Amino acid sequence: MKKFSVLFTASAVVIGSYLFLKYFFSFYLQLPIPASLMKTYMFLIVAGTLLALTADDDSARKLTAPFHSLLFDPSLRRSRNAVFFVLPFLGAFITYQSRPKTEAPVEFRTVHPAPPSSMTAFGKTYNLITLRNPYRELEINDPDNFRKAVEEGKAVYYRNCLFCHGDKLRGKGIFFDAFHNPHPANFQAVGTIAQFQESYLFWRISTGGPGLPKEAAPWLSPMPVWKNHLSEDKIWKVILFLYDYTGHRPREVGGNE
Amino acid sequence: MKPTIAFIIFLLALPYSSGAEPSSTQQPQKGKPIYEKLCSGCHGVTGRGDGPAADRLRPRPRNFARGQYKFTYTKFGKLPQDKTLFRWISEGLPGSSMPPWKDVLTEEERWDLVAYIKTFSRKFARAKKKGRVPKPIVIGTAPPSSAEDIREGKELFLQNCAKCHGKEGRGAGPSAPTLKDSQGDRIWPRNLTKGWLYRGGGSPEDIYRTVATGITGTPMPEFMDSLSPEKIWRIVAYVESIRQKKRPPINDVLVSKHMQGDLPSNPCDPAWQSVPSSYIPLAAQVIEGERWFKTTIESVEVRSVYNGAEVAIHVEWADKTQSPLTAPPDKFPQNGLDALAVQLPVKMPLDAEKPYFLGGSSAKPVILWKWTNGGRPEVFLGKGILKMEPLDREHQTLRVAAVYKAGLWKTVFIRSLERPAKNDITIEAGKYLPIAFSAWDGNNGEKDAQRAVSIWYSLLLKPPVKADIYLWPLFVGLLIAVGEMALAIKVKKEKEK
Repeated sequence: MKKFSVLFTASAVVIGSYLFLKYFFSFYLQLPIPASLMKTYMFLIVAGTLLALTADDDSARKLTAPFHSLLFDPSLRRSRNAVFFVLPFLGAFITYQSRPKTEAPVEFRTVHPAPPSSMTAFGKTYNLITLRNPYRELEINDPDNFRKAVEEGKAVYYRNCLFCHGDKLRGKGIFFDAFHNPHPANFQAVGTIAQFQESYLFWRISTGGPGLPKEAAPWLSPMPVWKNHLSEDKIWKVILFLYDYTGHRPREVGGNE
Repeated sequence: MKPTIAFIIFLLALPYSSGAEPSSTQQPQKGKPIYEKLCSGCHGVTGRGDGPAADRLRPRPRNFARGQYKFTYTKFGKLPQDKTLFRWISEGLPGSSMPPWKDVLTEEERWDLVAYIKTFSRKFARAKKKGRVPKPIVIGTAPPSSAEDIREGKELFLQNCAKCHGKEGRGAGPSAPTLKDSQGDRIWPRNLTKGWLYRGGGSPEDIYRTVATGITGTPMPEFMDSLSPEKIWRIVAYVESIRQKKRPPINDVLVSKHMQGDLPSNPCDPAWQSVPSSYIPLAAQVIEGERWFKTTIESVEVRSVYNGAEVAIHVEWADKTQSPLTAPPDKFPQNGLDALAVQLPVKMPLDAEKPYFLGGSSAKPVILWKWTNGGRPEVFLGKGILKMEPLDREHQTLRVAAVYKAGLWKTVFIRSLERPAKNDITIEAGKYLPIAFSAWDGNNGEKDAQRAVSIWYSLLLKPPVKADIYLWPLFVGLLIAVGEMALAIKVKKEKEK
């Protein structure tokens, strides 16, 4: 046992980390780590473990000692033969397992692409950098009318957005299964509306899936072009509702206010 | 260290805490703001089931002012127990628009909501005044069921349930197209084969409850007075035997198997049974044209095979009516045509770019193979969902066969792999071909843009297995063996030194 201790520790660290990352995240937190990210993590963990254990010659020797003795120690002849016998089969098996599978071709897609600097809708051209939600100032100046605007936005949401983005604004509406790729945005998550200015939302809502730039795969998104269905006014109000319901604040830009 | 352990214990305990008994401190006034934030969008501020979303949802959200609840543990038409309302708020009603709220609201908040919801109908206060307490029925636990019980259950099902739910339980009985609920809305009998969509829950006890107490406000009657508990349990056993418990997994790739000889062109050919199927959920097309949110076709199941010359795509879906009906009910006169379309790009895409999933665009059109009940198959060039141009006859090497039986449409589309005309697609094996589906339920008034749609999937005509699948592992194995030999020789030499 003592002879294998360094190698044993190293293996325990690597296997333990793997099990933790895999099972704790996917089964307990229900947030599985994507396979590609998992590979990166495991690479870092293996590399880190090797670095730590080979920091000086002595420990490096200890780490490789079991391999050395497996090759040279006459008393380990049987184990050596067994390992030599099994390895080619193991290699062949892994190769067979990694044969091409019928998985969906990977489609790289920018989820939140950079907005254009301007857009046209409702017969007007908007500068998206300076564009502000006209109702936002009511929040301080006229709270009663602000609440009214939020309520109107709520009605717009429930009549139009609910089906995909859901009752909890988590992107799990009744169309979630059908529109799973790409799935509807989760407004409660920190990575969506909390990151954007209101003008970004105005752009995304008004121009929908087809308004996305090419890197965001506009042909896949079932997001409607809402300027065909909703007035400018209603779009601004539904944006108020999204922030009000989730408690996120829109990102403010520019220091000259 | 200690706080960490406490935190972990807290985390572990989270999913297990659930109280089924009302807390003594239920406060309707505390439920009000929660209701107004979370529930009023569908159920309305006044609780009348008339929130802004209401007319776009099927079934319509509950009107609390009527004091009528569908799934209760009390007799048909009677008021529910508090804990029943608590359960539906906590767990939601599968297959409807009502989601579970237990991940958002604490138990106390949910009990407060129950108290507030009850204030919308005077029935609860009146019952309380008179000292009436809801009396739940006795359910017990499901007895073990034998093959004999299931057979008897089937007999009972045919006698009592098949008129609406159909002989095969797909909700396609002769009365199905005529039904409406107490508010005059059209209502459909449940397709009992899709077990994950049972509104009132899917345990044997839940099914027993629904059969025993009926569904208040709907044509589903209570059977507890006419059938003994033993008989109801047998019906439950039969229903359990025909239902698929879980929604099938969704795969983004539909694999087409290679086969020798003629492709099975009959949708009921037993050869199709051995081909694995892919479940494709559909959603209402609410983007283009006159917006229609209440489609009835929930999904299609797709299978495919091909040979050297042709590809066959078998599409199967549940539809409670074969439309057009020969005699549509007076109440619901809409009598359109059932139809299904397979959508493909015009060209095999060279990069990731595909046509717009919804009928293509003028820059990137799609090909649509459309089958309509009673008509001949048509091929369209789609430049948008409302811009479908029929292509001439030379494109129509497409053959379609369709059979409707017991609430299920089965269709087979067969076309040559080679393109029939210049502006059509040649289908190549070994490549991912974008494919999407549209389905129309004629009896639901669906036509043109009003339909259920899918997003893009990939159809892969899987090339026959080649020997290299086995050659590579053999090569790798040999390579390792050679390496080992070299190592062994080296070790031997070092030892000799």
